[in-house]
Amino acid sequence: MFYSCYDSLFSLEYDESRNSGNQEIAILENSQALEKFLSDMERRAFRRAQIATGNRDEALDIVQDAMFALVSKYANKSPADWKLLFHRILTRRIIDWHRQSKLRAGFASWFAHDNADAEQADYEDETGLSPEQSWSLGESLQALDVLLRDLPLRQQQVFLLRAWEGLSEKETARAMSCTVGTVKTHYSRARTYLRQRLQET
Amino acid sequence: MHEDQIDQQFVKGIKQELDRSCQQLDAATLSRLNRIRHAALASSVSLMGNWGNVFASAIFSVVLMVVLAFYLVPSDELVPGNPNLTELEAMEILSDEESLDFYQDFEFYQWLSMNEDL
Repeated sequence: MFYSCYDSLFSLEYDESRNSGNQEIAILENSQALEKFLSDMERRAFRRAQIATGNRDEALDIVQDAMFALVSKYANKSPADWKLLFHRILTRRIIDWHRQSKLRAGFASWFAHDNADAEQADYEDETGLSPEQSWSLGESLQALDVLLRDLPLRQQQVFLLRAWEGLSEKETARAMSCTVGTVKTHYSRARTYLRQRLQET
Repeated sequence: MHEDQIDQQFVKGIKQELDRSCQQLDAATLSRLNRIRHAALASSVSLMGNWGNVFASAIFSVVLMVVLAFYLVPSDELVPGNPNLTELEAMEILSDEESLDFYQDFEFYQWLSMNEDL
């Protein structure tokens, strides 16, 4: 009797330890997959945010927000879903940042009574160079950044998601929270604009 | 060259430039990205570890509610020291708007009303 009770207790304890072990392994595997995913995405995410904001620190803050949001809300989702979710979060953060900066610029111009300067600041990048100036300096990367930054924000992000990240029209529409038709329009306009500008230069 | 091919080549060229820009990020930016990633992952591990605590807390709360419900819900058993009153009636008296003096003098009021009738 005693031995049977002891055996059942022992087997229960053994099962629990095995279950918790499996759980720990699952958490570890998930964590490793998440680390690999974020490691693969971080540079491109940073560049997307940098192109959108024109500012390194702001871009880093946006990437940080996006990574924390993905990890806190969607870490337990299937790794196959992470890519689209991350792009969606990042796009949302970039659009929010843009809205807030516009609002700040609006307030600044209201108080300073200097609308021209505020509008200029809105479009100015860290280098303060126009696309033509950048090309003439032969800095193709910088010039590309400037050209991309010249695009309206949604066009720019659609272009980057489609052309660079390789998302389909449907996936881009989901990441941008818009319709497939809008994605097609934005992508086409962005391509036309960039080709024209690059041919000019 | 066909227009589509030109377009594809143009997109491919831009993609290559952007990929190249990722490889040319400065050390400070890469270090910051690395720290951000590790901080995010650390928060993920602590969140996953907390699920066990959340589950245990939920079970404890349910057990506590069951125990409290068992002890606090009034039953039809008689109140000790007052064989004419059930627990339910006692609760009714306690939660009523009438003062307790009214219930203490209840027999007197009954007697008074009977005498008035006479």
